[in-house]
Amino acid sequence: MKCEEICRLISDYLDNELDRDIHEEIRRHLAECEKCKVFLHTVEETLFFSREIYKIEKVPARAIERVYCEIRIKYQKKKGK
Amino acid sequence: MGYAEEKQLVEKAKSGDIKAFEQLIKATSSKIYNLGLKLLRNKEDAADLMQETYIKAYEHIGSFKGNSAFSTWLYRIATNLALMKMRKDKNKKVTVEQLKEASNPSMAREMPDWTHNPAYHFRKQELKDLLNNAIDSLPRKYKSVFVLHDIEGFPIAEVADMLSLSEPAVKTRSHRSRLYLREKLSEHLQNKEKYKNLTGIKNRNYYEM
Repeated sequence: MKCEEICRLISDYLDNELDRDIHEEIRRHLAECEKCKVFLHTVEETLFFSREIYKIEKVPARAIERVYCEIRIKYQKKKGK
Repeated sequence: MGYAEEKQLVEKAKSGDIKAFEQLIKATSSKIYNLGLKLLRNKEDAADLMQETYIKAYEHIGSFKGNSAFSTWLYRIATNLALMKMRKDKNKKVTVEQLKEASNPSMAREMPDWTHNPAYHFRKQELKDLLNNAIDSLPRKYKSVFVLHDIEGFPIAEVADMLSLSEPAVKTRSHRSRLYLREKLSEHLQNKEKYKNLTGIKNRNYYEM
């Protein structure tokens, strides 16, 4: 398999979306090709880093109160019909 | 909340039990609010999105068939509402041509290994801001795929279902976004290296790694 093909298939490889034999072929290529190994490593690191940038934020109490309030209004309207 | 409990609450909510619907809100609001923050990057918009999502869910709960988790159904509603809001975003976006270029096999591999670059490890806040802006500059249809698949971890098939796209379309968008973001990080770190060379702030370890 050529290096360019690895580049084209790298996301499918990372997502386990490839047939087993193609997946294996890529794995063997990566074990031997330094350039493609760097390529894979930098893509993986980009994804890892992307996940790190988002912290889980607490839902503001006022915002959730507003949701409950709106749903209560909808409920009352439905009940009144 | 377990699947069985969720299913029970959904059934109760369908038959008009508001307490059950409120329990479903309580169990899922953090996920929906945080999805809004990722897609819209603004607390007020995320709160509005959460409200609109639950109103829509309340109004349409009768049509929820239970083929997916209730939270997945909410994600679908929230993402589609967010996509409409994102239409109004006037910030400059990357073009599809630029995204294609970043994933061009003859260009994409020609990047050094920056994962050992100390700047990558010690300037994380700066890089996080850069990456955050790069994600935000993705066209909305790419950004939604990237957030749902790569950040939230939904499988390709579920993202395709949520966004009413084909699986190959989701794969293409995900692949191009990944390689574009990688290119942005690479470019930035390469420039840092050039800057260090020019100013002579040479750190021995920096070049030996």
